[in-house]
Amino acid sequence: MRSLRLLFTEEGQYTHQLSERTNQEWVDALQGPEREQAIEELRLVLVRGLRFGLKGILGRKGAIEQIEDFVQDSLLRILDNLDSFRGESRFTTWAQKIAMRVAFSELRRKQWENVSLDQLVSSDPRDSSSPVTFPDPAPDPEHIASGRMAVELVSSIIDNELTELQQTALKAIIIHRVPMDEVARQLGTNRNALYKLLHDARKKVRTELEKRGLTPDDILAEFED
Amino acid sequence: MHYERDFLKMVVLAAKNADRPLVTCDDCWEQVDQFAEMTLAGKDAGAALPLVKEHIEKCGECSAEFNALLDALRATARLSLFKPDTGS
Ligand SMILES: [Zn+2]
Repeated sequence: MRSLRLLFTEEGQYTHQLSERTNQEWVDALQGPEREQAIEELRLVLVRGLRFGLKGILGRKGAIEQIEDFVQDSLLRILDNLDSFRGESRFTTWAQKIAMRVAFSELRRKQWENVSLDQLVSSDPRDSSSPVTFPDPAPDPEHIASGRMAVELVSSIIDNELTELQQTALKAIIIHRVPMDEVARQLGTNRNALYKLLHDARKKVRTELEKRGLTPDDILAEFED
Repeated sequence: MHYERDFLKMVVLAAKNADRPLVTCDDCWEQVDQFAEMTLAGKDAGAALPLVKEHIEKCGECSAEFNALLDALRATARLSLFKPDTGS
């Protein structure tokens, strides 16, 4: 027998009865005759979760319509992916993980939809006349020389050894703080593949330094003041 | 031609960590719900799932989603009634 409990909102109003379910019962309910009720109950959980989870981004009240939209998209995604639920967490935790990913992806996309990576990256300050600045008091000449060499060496590794895609991704993410979701979208890939691409870029830089008998720490020491 | 020093420094710092195992956002995603439940239960999630911990510390996106998920789970703890599969 399923036990039912009364539930109250934070304002103390009676809202709904949510069913207590095992993971398997959730999966079954969402596909069985009580599907409508199960979906409605899951919707309540997701709305509340997103309201609180996104409070820092959307504000205390949150844009409730926006949250409803996220939840609607999330429910579709969850129902489409019930097969992939392996029961390693509670069903509602798994569902909320999906809702959070849906919401963040959408928020990032909206925030960056009018920004072109190409324009962003091509406008980076990078001309040969821009001076390498050193803090006061002026370091000794040897330090200036090696510091400048380190800048030139790493710059040339980036320009000559990394692919154009790797360069664009690194600049967008590090200099412009574009979220990976958005970089991936504009580069026609996904966040996971982009993460791998960046990992390869990191390895490449390291290998190129090693070829010259240097470690990342050697270079970082030159960058310290 | 050269880039700004801050950018280069970040690139070299990233290169320094390139020998760490590659844990992608998807790898992290697979287990982040377990990681979050352990965290909320006061268990040492980092010891149980070290690769998830490492990824969250490095990846701004996954970190933001993880923290929001924690808040969401706290807010719905009483709402998301759960019955263990065994012994019911
Ligand atoms: Zn990530």
